[in-house]
Amino acid sequence: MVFNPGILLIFGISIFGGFTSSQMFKKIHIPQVIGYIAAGVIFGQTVLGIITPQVIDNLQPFNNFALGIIGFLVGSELLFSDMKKYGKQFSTILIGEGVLAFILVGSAVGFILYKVTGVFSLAMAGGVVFGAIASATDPASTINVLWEYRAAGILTTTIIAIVALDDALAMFLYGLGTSISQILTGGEADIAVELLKVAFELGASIILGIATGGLIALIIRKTKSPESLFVIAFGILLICIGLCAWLELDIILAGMFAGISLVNILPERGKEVVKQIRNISTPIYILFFALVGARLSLGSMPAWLWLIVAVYVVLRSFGKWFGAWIGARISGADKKVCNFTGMSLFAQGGVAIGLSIMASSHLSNISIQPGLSLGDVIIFGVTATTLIVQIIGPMLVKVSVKVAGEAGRNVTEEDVLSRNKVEQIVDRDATVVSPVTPIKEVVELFGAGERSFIPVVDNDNVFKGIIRFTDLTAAFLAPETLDWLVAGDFLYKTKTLLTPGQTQKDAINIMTHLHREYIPVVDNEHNRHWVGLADRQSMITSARRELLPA
Amino acid sequence: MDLANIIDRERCCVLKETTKTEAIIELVNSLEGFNGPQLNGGPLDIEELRKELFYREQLMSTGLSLGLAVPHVRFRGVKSPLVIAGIQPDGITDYDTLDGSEVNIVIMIIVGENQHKQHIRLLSLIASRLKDNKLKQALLSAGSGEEIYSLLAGSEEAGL
Repeated sequence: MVFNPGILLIFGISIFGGFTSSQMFKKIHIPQVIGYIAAGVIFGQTVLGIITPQVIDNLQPFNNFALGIIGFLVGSELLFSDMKKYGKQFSTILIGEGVLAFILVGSAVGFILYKVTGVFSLAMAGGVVFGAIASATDPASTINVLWEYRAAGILTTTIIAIVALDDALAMFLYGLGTSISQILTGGEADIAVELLKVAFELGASIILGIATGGLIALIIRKTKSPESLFVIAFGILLICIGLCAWLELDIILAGMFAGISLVNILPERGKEVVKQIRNISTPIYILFFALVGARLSLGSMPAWLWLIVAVYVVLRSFGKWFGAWIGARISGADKKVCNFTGMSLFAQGGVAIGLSIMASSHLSNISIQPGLSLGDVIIFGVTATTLIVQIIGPMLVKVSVKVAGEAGRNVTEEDVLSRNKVEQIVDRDATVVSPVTPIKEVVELFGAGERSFIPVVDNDNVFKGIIRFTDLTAAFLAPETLDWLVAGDFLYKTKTLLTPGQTQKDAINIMTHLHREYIPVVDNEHNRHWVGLADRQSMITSARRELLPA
Repeated sequence: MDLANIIDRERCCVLKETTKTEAIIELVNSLEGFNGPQLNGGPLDIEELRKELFYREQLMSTGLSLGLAVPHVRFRGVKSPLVIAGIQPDGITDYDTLDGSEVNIVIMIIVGENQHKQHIRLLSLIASRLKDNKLKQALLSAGSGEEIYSLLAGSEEAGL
């Protein structure tokens, strides 16, 4: 029986395998994205061959979906307020790193191709396409590392801005490059028409993205339930991705602009949507990168191609680093932006591979040697370099943000609340009464305090329930009864209790759900020995205090 | 609040017992087989009710003053207030009342678990009614449960 796994099995194997391998990589402090790709390499053509090129072709709609989601999440990181602040820096760095990588890689690869083929036009065409692809940076894996290490700061902002923008630059250079290649190699493309085509594709993608983000913002403005928020945003985003695939527009760019417009039109609710979409993004990321790995076929590359691979990796890296350094220096950026931005831009992924696939279909009729077209050289070269730079790229992003002191700074209130336990803020001195406390005393305690209930604890320190102020009001209308009643007469046996080991995030979720400000804390549900009161405000205040810069 | 609907006519009685514990047990036992609309689903759990009443007595005696005791409890077995009454003309001496007097009139109040308002209003209503000496004397000379019920339930109409 031929092993022919269905799509769902492929999904399962890739996600589970990707996760497992990423966990192993994580143990040796290598970013998880490399683990995802490594799983793909193992399941793909290079090793096991379970995920065949045909399967990958069949999964194109999934790839489109993943690219759209990645684009959206990347775009949602860009606030105009930041762009305005750092705009000058961003554009000079962007042009510096993109153009220098383009020139260095393009000329060196062109030179090698010329030496191999002896045909100038073909060498020039290959060089231009390689150069254009070299200018792209993979936003997904780069930003994944920034998230993983919770980076925040001026360097992080710069990296996010550059990776979000340089796909557009890469696409533009690519459009220019393929047109020039086709002209040089005798194709029929008219450079003006090709340029117009690229401009149209970029423009239409951007407009569709902005419209998508605007539409999401418009609809969710009045939506209250978080579930509806997610479903609406997700649905509209899918429509955008589907339209892009249908109209052959750029999915990443459209997704990115959807994210940009949403968070800039409606910052608060927009961030809520982004958070929910990010929550579902992990398996999508794993699968996407596993498929990138599976697409690579490391064994079947001609030997001289490795030279192109080596030159590409070295010169692209140098071009990005030095170009970013020059750009940053010209714009007068912070020293750490000058030194570390370029080396955080080495990763290349979906866009580069996507462009190489497009180039291979454009240039497949240009033969270099028997059985090897210029298209093949490009697709082999880019996939191999992708694997290498995907290993060194994310690692260098990690090193950059760590050395620049920006790792671990993007800790949110939610992170702190998830880490902190109820026992850290429990008020062990909260006023309690015994079941035999005369109700007159209880009334006085309510008068002296601000809480809406008082816990009732017996002589054995067992929590019996609470007295709610609202239940006492009837007694005020019959003051003579106050002499005959005790706390036990008003006991409310609440089932809502916390234990010291619960996280503060859980506690706040319960409080939000029940509209409570305080919840009694007992040692455990069974013994119910009194510990104290957990107070919502104390948890939030202590989390915020932790987040204050030292 | 209409006491006539809340007091159970058939469970008002002249008590046989003369101690606090036995008198409360006698009243609780009279609810065996009770099937009124006040019940919350199934039959009353007499044992549980007895425990709850005695737990309440442990917290603080329900003996008030001038011969009146109001054992009371919020109980999950009922959904609306239920009141039963017992008279002991010979007096219960060990009830531990606020003024040290012996108890002749025991009015038991059982309300639903969350009926805080009804609970307090009933306590207040019954205590204020029984401040009336004429009613008290009439109750002490009542010879049957029916008569006790009529006096307690009718006192509202009679303006007592």
